[in-house]
Amino acid sequence: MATKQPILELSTIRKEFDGNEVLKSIDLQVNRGEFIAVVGKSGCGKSTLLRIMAGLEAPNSGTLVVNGKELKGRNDLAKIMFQDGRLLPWKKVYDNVALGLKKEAQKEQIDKVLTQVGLADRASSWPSELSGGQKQRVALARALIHEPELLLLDEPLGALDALTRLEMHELIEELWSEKQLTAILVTHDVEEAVALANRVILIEEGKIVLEVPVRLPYPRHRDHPLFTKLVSQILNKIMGHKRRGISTEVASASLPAMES
Amino acid sequence: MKTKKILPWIIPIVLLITWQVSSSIGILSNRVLPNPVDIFTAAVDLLKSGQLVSDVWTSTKRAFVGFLIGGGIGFALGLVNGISKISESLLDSSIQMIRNIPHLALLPIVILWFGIGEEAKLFLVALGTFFPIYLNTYHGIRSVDPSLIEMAYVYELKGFSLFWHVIFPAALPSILVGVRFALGITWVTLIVAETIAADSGIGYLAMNAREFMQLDVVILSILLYALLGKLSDVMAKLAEKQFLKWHPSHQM
Ligand SMILES: Nc1ncnc2c1ncn2[C@@H]1O[C@H](COP(=O)(O)OP(=O)(O)OP(=O)(O)O)[C@@H](O)[C@H]1O
Ligand SMILES: [Mg+2]
Repeated sequence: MATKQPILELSTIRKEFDGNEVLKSIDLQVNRGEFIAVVGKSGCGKSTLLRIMAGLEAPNSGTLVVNGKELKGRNDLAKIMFQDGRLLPWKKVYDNVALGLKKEAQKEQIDKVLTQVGLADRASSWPSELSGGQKQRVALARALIHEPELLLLDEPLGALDALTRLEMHELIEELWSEKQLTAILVTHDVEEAVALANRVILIEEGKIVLEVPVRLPYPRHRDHPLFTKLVSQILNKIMGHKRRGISTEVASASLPAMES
Repeated sequence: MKTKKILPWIIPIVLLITWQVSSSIGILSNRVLPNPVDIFTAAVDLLKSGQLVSDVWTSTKRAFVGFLIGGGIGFALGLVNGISKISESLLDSSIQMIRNIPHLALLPIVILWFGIGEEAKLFLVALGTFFPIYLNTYHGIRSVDPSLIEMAYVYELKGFSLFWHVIFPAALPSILVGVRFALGITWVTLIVAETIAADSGIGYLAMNAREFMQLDVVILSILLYALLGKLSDVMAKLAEKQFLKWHPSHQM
């Protein structure tokens, strides 16, 4: 069955920029319908990984297989929402969302997706008239309207306040479960990762050093003991209290492990 | 509120009145500077004879056609060189070289080539407007944010739609700066060209009047140039307002 096939398979992906090796060897299998969060320190190569998945950047070595076929050039299954939104300032919200749609006939669709992100009343605003969070939501709507099988989100909520973030979490989770898409979210907020994803991946020194499945029902409560446990497990790993933890159980008693 | 609106007008009006009065009581000789009423009467006379309209029309037409030719070629070349690296390396350095020659310095040779015919004026105006529009179009396209182009690539825009939805609007503010600049050059060029080599137009009107010591007509011609220059600038500003509505600097 085609549906059993992973949507993305990365093996030994390596990427360098002018001798600076950003990704050393990334192996990752993304299954259909998964929600994966990628966390890691600033500059560790999260955006680069996402751009490789979108086909915007070619790895120096390793293979990226999309739906069983090796990817060359743009990944047409994917829509990426960039870290910086990238709305066209000379197009009103409506026309930004309509960008790249085949015909004008999609008015209903556009109205619908704008309603979903809560911006139905701002359809005729210029991007410069919107707040940061509203711009992010337009960028999200623009990606969603193409109903991508794979939604790549690069710190979409980076610039937002805590309250708006929570709202956006709800929105993203809703859209993900409703449309049954596969989502990959890059974030530096570990709580956000655990709140949304069913697998959290930590990148350090160009490698995946931690993979944590999150088996909690949605919507997730942040005061759930397992939630806080997972968050601190990941944080500890980032902070350098090295633990071998590839499962949901926090191996608090295990010895510091060597990385290589 | 009201005083604020009146305030900027006080000095011009006082000057105008002083000018008229000093001329009437004989402090200011009519041979040096005719008074406003004389100039106005001259304008009315020329308007009645149809001369004024015909000369203004001739000059405007020259400005317009010359601008269209020079600006059109500048725009097209700026576009091509902005988009295609090959064309840029082939053409840009040559264009930059020619740019160093002030176009008005070519006046003597242009007269030799074309005499005082229309071509001379059109050639000079076209040459003068070509460079600002070429440079600003080229520069505008070259400085389109590459991240927006990448975004457009994700949304599968290419060819004309990439140009139309992303590249052209991004370059438009710069192009319009070029247009305003070129309009200024258009009028300066015409003033020089029509004054030296013409048998019609506002400059000719002025030179002709000079021969007959009609100082009022000379002043009138100068004012006409000023008016037309201002008019084209206002039009360019309106175009900016219309086309750059999205720009934060045009939102109030
Ligand atoms: N086009 C490029 N050319 C050269 N170096 C690059 C390029 N893109 C990224 N890098 C470098 O690769 C490293 C990883 O960048 P990347 O943007 O992937 O980090 P990130 O994990 O997304 O960081 P952040 O959380 O701050 O967004 C950085 O050191 C960056 O300087
Ligand atoms: Mg990044």
